[in-house]
Amino acid sequence: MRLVSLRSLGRGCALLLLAQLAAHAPASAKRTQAQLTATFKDRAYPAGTPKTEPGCTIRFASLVDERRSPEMAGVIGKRGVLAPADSQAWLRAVLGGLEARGIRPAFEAAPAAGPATPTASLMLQTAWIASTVVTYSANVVLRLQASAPAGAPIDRMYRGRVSRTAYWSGGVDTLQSAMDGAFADALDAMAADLKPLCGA
Amino acid sequence: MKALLNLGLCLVLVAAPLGSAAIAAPKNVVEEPARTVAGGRAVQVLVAQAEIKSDINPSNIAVISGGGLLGGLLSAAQNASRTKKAETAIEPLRTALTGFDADALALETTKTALAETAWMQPAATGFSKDSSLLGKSTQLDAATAAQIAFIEYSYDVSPDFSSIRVVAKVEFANKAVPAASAAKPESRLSPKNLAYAQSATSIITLPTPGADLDANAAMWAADGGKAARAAIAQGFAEVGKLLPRTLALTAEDIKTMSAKDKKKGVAGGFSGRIQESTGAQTLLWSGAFIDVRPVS
Repeated sequence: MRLVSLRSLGRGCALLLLAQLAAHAPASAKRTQAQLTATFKDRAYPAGTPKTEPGCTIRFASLVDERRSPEMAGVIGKRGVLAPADSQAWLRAVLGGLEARGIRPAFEAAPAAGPATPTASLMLQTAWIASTVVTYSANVVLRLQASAPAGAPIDRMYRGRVSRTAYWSGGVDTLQSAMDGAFADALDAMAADLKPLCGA
Repeated sequence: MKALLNLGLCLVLVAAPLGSAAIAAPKNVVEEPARTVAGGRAVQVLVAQAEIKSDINPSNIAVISGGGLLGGLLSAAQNASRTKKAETAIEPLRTALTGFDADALALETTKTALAETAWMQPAATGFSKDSSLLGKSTQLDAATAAQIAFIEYSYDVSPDFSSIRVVAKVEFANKAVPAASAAKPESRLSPKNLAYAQSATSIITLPTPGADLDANAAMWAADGGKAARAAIAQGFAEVGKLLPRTLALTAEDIKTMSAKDKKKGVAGGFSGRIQESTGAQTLLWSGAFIDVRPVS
């Protein structure tokens, strides 16, 4: 019967089966870790969504990785998820997502960005992917401190979360995508708070 | 449709029980001669999470329906739905626990627990969030001691959020790769090659749980997560008391605790033979210690 042929199981199912077998046989478990990259791919917006042009610039004076074990971004089953080695590049890439939300992030020294440019500091507190029965969840926590020559300063935590069902695989692409989705959540709220600083 | 059929078939295959005969049980007591290791024993504290975790009761639809395509599909959908619900409900609690340093608690608990066990004085103590097989194998490679005692802590909320659970899993793994599997250094961590494997669990319950997980989550999260912070700290402290008892167990102790004259009971969602029961506190033995008590 065609539908039950091994071929029809698909590559994803085979991977899932192998993962299950590995979980029961540690000696043969995956010998590679999943390595995330210092990139950020924003979520896909529905076609026709008007693009938001950056209305102002926020200068990020510091980007600090406060995680206790910055090399790790999760453990899924018996496989580790490694965070990008360059957390500065990673955070810059993530903050690049503010542009689509109406904020242009700048990382250069103050004079180039302009003396009246609102300034901010970003702290990465959590970036972790965990798994449960057939799903995995990416969680991020960012702390933002920002101020402008006028206007109320910001000191807030921003959380983002994405849960996905791991039917087919826990491949690096899907893990990266989950982490990106969690960052996108956090950026949504962050941009909403930063916009009032632009008019200050 | 074809994709759905494939998915169902896939899930049924994956859910099929794998033979357990090939998996040898690791040693669950540290016999006297094994307490001292030539070359020394290092301790590696592991906390492979960044925040408190959620948990779900896995769907049993596939079992009830006798397996099959539909059962597999429904089971996967139910698990995904439960996870989503639990991850949403836990958010206020995670927010309330921002800044809570469970990693430091794990290190402190280890230090306190091991101070009670004279033979378990580590040559060095490290910390890592990498509890993956390869991560632990790499840690073994880097060790200067002949053996590492991995003490992996985890903390989560029960599926109905009525309790917070802290678990310490202890594994002794030798640095030397068994000759039979020289090409697979990770085999040092397979159950048959571990020198020791045990766990201790503390379950801290809400004194009067609410009707559902949202109500319970709100109770844990109230007042900046005051109850949750207390429960996690209490859970680690209780695990810290159970660890020396666990490490000191002999085969005779386990036989006594597992004997039929010890009544069976259920507490905190776990079943086992009751070892102690004083008021609201219960200590079960179910192949490992499980202590259940309300948050104080």
